[in-house]
Amino acid sequence: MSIMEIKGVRYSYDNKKNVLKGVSAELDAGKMYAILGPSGCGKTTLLSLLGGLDSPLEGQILFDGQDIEITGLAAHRKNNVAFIFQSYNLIDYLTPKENVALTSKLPPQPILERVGLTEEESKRNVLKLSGGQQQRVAIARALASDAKVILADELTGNLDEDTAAEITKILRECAYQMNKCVVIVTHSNELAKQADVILKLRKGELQIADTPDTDTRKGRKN
Amino acid sequence: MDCKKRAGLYLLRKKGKAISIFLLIMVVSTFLISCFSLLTASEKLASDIRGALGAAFYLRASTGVVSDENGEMTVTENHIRITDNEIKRIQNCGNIAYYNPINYGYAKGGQLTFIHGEKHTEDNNMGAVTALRYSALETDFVDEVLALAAGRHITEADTNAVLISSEVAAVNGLSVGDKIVLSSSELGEADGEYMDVWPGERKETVVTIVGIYDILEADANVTATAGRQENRIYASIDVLTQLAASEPSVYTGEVGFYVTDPKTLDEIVFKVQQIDEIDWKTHFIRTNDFQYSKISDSLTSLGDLIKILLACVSIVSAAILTLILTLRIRGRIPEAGILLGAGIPKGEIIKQFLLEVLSVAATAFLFSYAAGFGISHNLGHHLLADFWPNLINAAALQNGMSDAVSIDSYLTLGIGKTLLIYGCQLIVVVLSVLLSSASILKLKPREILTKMS
Repeated sequence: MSIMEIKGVRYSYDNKKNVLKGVSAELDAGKMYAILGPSGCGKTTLLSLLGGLDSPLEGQILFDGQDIEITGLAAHRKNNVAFIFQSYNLIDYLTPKENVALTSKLPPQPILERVGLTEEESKRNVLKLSGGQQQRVAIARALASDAKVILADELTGNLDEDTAAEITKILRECAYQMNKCVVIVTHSNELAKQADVILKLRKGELQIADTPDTDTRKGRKN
Repeated sequence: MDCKKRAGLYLLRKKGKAISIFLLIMVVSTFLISCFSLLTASEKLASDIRGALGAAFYLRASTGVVSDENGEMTVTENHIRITDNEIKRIQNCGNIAYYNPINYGYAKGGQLTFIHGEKHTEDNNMGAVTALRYSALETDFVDEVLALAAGRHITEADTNAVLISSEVAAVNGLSVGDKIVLSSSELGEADGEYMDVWPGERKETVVTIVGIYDILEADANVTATAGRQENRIYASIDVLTQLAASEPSVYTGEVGFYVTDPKTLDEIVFKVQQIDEIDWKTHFIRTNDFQYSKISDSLTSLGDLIKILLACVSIVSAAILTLILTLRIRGRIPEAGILLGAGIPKGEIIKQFLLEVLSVAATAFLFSYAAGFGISHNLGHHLLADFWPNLINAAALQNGMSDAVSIDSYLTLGIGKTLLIYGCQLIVVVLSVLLSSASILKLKPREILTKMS
């Protein structure tokens, strides 16, 4: 059974032109999904709807078979999903450890070490970290929340190629090893190719563009 | 991480922002505490002065008889005086807080040089002495013809105490605390010359200068040395008795009776006029409110000025505080978005903002209380000093002690008013936070995050 389901979702900013025209899809745990499309096609909007940051005009978003509008968007954001943004969105007066502790009662250090931050780096002011390190903190915060779904919006947009590849690798490992459903929004074909399923969004419609062999990918990467 | 910890970390790490809000709230709070303290003190002082001397009646004995002989008007002294016995009878009518009898006489000062008047000679080198229980209530001081420049006024508890003019003090190199010798004398006139006509044995007494007065409205009349304003000596009631210039317990001047409750003035005067032992053909009563009006006008002006100042500063500071808090909180839209995105409820985010500002405000209040206390007491001593002597006497007599209630007790703001001031400021702070937070939190989390990106 899929962990999240998008059912006939329609969304418009002005009630005239539909950004999403009855989009439907199913998302499974343990997989990484890439939503691919040109700028302004509604990728981030779809991600926001999945994350309960906004409500669709029509259709439903289901989590574990429950409509998130009924269970409550704030509760959905708190318990089921975690966001990673292109601009990291870290709170600047908190250390990496404290940023991670925002959403979790688990000890933050092991999670930070898992994404590659040392003890010393975890105590610094987040603004004194490099872009890649800040994004790792954002990922650690998402992982620490214990949410089953991780939603990432252009998370490598501000990073160089090597760091972007490392960050993507960390997320893919999270999906496989921690049985998370990772959804990344990107306009990069290269990044999308790292995903298990590529969903192409064009003119408000969602198509499954590519479904690489997950087992092969898992085997290759592990 | 709960909102308390987040608030604490924010204050700890954003020290500059915390300190600037702290300073703003502290300055505003200090100002409000100081002004309210002064306002309350001036109002209470006015009320107490009103109680002390707002309502008084004055008993005067006719000391001369006018006769008309062949078209010539002649004034003959009749030696009618007000006595302690009459004063006691009046006091028995009740509700009289205290009385201020006056005796008049003259004194020479041994080595003391007076300011020279018309036809000055060594023989008429003397000053007029007004002996009384409370110099502050003497008409010239109340009417601000004279004003205390140094030291203090004479009160009922004083003996051998005098006030001299700053001119006489300067000529003789005297200051408060110095002792001088006064001797009996009497001014007379013969052949157009002024002279000392003291009839009997001269007495001497040593007196202490407790205060020095300035002349605010000079008397332009050309007069003998003893008649000059500068040469007036205000003395405790015992001084003229010691110099044998007045009989004990007998008074040549008007005696003021000050009632405890101004509302009962007419009733008391009516009672006094029923006393048979007093000859009402030679004794007269007058009532008036001018002393209180004189003092209260100045106090009211001071109070009005403080009120205007308070209103302006309250409005301006509330506006500035609201503006700064609004800008600060709007600057935290990204943080609100991140916290909302992390599933932290809006209420918890507002609670954090409130906790931060309230913690800073509470600390600022503590400091402002101390600062406000210092400022209001310093300012109060300057602003209210002129009115103080009027109350010292009342307080001293009413409380049966020689020194008066401290002015500090008037300037100390009660706990209720202090809490009210803090409460009003807290309301402004809380409303500012809520209003500025509302502008953020009415947005959907997605709108906030879109704004951020």
